[in-house]
Amino acid sequence: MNSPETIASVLISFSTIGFVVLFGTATFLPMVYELTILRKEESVQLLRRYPYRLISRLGENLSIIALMGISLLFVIVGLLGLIYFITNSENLLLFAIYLSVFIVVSLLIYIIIIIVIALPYKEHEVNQIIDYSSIGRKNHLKTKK
Amino acid sequence: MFESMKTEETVEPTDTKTKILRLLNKANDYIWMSTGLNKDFYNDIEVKNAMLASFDKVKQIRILIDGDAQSKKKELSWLFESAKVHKGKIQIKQTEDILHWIISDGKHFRLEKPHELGTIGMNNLFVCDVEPPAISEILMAKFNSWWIVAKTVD
Repeated sequence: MNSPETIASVLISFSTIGFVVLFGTATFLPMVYELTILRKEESVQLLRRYPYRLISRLGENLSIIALMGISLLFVIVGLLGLIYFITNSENLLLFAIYLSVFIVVSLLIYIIIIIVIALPYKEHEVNQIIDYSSIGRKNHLKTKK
Repeated sequence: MFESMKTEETVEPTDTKTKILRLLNKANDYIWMSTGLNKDFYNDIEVKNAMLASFDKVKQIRILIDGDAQSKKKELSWLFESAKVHKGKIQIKQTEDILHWIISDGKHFRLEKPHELGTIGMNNLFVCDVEPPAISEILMAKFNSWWIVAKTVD
């Protein structure tokens, strides 16, 4: 049941799904980030909420580069799985397995880092920025009257 | 998320001036300003010198005038002359009903509470070292939304 061919097929499927999910996320996330946060009038206020802070963290350049990098590693695993069917080299398959373990560990570390760094924020400072940046002069003067 | 970010509020004009000078001095790449261009403030010799020094140093200056730009040409002729000297680098536009901000390199900000045009705003907030991009991106997107619809001043 656990023949090398089966393992190679599983690795190819695993890497295809991983590539599609991660590359898709890396491609669409900046768009979602821009549409959900940057374009809204109350955008700074949104950063008080954890999900928006998480999205903003995910949408950062470094995060996108990490996602792209991991998704490219998935491509390498998939290619190694395909090459196995041509060469029948078990060393190649072993390398693909180690690489997929490395990818899973990297992905877990990435997820933990993103979740943790999105947690804290300086509430007082953010509130000050909201206070100074969210109303136009006309509105302000109207409310003063 | 905002470990390095610091904010300072000012209500005294001298304190505000000192911090604006520091903000201008910090810029290495670009300065974006939305301002009422109060003649008393911007004709101050220290402010003028700091601005002229930053014009030489940075790669891009965007000045978004809140209110009538034509009257400012007479009141702050040195600024418009500098814009001619640094053609392309200094861009001036005019619009209405905006907040008065200074954005230095997308990292340091001066935000001002709304006030009547022609007066000096008393309540200012200086935000320094916005290292995570979330807040700076949001503020810059807001500035850009004003900039896009503003009219170019020759």
